[in-house]
Amino acid sequence: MRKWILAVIVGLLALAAVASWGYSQQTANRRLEIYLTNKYQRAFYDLASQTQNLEVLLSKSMVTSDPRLDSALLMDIRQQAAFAQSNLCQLPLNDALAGRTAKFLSQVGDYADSLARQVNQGETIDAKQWDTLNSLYQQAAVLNGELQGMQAAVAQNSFYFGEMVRQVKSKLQKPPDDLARTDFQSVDKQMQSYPALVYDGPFSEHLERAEPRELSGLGDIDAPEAERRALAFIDKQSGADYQARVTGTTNGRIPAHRVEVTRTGGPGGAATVLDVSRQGGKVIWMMNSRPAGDQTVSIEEARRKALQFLSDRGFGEMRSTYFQRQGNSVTFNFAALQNGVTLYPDLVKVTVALDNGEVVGAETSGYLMSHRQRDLPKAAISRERALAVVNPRLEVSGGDLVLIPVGVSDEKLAYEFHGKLGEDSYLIYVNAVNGREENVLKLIETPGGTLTM
Amino acid sequence: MIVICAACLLALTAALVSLHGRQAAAQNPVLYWGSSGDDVFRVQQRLSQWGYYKGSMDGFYGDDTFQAVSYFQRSNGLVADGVVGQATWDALGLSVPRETPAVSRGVATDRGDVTLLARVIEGEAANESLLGKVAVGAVILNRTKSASFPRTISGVIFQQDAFESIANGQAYRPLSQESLQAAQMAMGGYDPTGGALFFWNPAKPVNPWVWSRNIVTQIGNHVFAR
Repeated sequence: MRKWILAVIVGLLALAAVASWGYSQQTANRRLEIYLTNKYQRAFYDLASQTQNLEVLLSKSMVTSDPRLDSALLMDIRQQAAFAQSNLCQLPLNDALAGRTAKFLSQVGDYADSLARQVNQGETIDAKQWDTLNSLYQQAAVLNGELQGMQAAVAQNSFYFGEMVRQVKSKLQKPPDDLARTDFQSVDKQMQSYPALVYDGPFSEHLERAEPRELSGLGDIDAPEAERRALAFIDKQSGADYQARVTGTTNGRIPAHRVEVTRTGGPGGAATVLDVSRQGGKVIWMMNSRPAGDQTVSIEEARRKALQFLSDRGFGEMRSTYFQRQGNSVTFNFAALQNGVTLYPDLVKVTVALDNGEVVGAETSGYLMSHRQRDLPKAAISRERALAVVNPRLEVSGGDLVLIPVGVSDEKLAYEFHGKLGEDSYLIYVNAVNGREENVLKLIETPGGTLTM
Repeated sequence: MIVICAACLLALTAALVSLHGRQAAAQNPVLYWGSSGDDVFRVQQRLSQWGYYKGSMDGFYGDDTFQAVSYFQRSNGLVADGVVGQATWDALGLSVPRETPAVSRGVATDRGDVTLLARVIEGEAANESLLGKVAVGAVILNRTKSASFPRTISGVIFQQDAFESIANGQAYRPLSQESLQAAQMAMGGYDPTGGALFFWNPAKPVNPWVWSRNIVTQIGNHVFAR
């Protein structure tokens, strides 16, 4: 009899414990859901108000006449666009739903940025650019209108975003539908109608379709030729035979044959994979996945090997500009030289394993995209003149002529100065034609190599 | 005579300054009609940037420069005497600092980004070869360069539903050396994907939308697309 009562009491206690555990779990869950909802709501309202600011700023930028005010407005536009994009990306939407809106916001920001630079250099906004500002303004107004409409829906349903998350999770495999997803999708569709921008900012659309200059005018090669080129490119070790096989084609920025090179005889190793461009038959990248053993080769020796590797493969005069160590391998950057001027856009990267000095990787796409014999301008100002532009607080050395990329498509001849302030090091680039300071990079020492930021 | 001497002195100072680096220049020289050299050039350049000076930047203090300096002084509440003294140097923002303040060393590194990138590579491609790992890292970096995605590595990685291994916590496993190396190589510019922005495993269920993208290549178990 007593045992029976005891069992009931124990059972009830257990039930009570489970119930209270469940209850606390449920409240915790709910608290987290509210927390997340608040986070989404904040991001959404911020996005809406920043889009509103964008619309207003864009319209103002079309009517100001003072360049100083214009430059301030354009910088504001850039900032608001960046904030808006960052908030958009925090909402539970994927790329299919909000990709175009995100792209629009990036491009508004970049366009404003490139105009602000232009205004700062004393040039005015021309009629064509004004028209572009106008079309961006129209588009921002449409986006603003759509978001205002959504605000009503969000205000009525406080779990709008919570429901959206549940749908995203449960319908991951299906095409998006109903509620918020369609709201955002219609916004995104609206964004489709905005005209493609033509300007030279970082995300300009026509740049994505740039042609590799090193390959222009060359004919296409077939698969057996690609195999021959791959075999000629790899760093052959003595006592080993190599066999190349085309395993497919790739359809990237530079269309290519994918070639796999395996070695037979000699010490074993992983296969080397290469992409050989269809046009012109140049190696775009090469990579051997074998792990590197203990170091027996110094960095200096590895650098010499890498440089020899490049000159054996028909790359002209190259200068080592930077290196970074990854475990027991090291990657060197080499820039092409023309009459002693370092061409920074024409970069080749070479990775050397430090166990036996074998070249295990190479990447030449920067070189293929931009290398050519350039018509370099004459330096119009002397090194001393250029030095006078540099901040007098810096302790300066160097002063070689280099060609630096400005934006993505533009290149400027500049003097490269090394500056030191206390323990920090900088690279300062002064335009050799007009004496303007083009860029300042900060050098950051890391265990793997020196970084520039 | 005095003018010529001053010019000689200036030229000499300028030569000394450029020979001995920058610490030697302790204070700004006074510039006036007839002065020449790099200091005049700096003044001309600054005035031209700010829209006061329209003449050529020849490093010679002639009438154009005199007018521009006077105009600048008038507009900025200075005595418009056309002589660049300390007050004008200060207003131009070109005054030589009296002494360089102690600057401590910065602490910026790339460690955070490399580790974060390596985490996603480990989460998404732990069983892939080094090549397959670098390819996944390259997609993330390509996204930071694309207008349709956030610009920072953390922005791309933590974007909603962007990476399954972030959503389900797979990415928080211990890191392998190979994933770290792949992250560094991807940061160093290796891109075996030819600019891909998407990758997925065709054996797993995915949103059919991704198949509409322009497929670049397949590496290991992953399909890459732009």
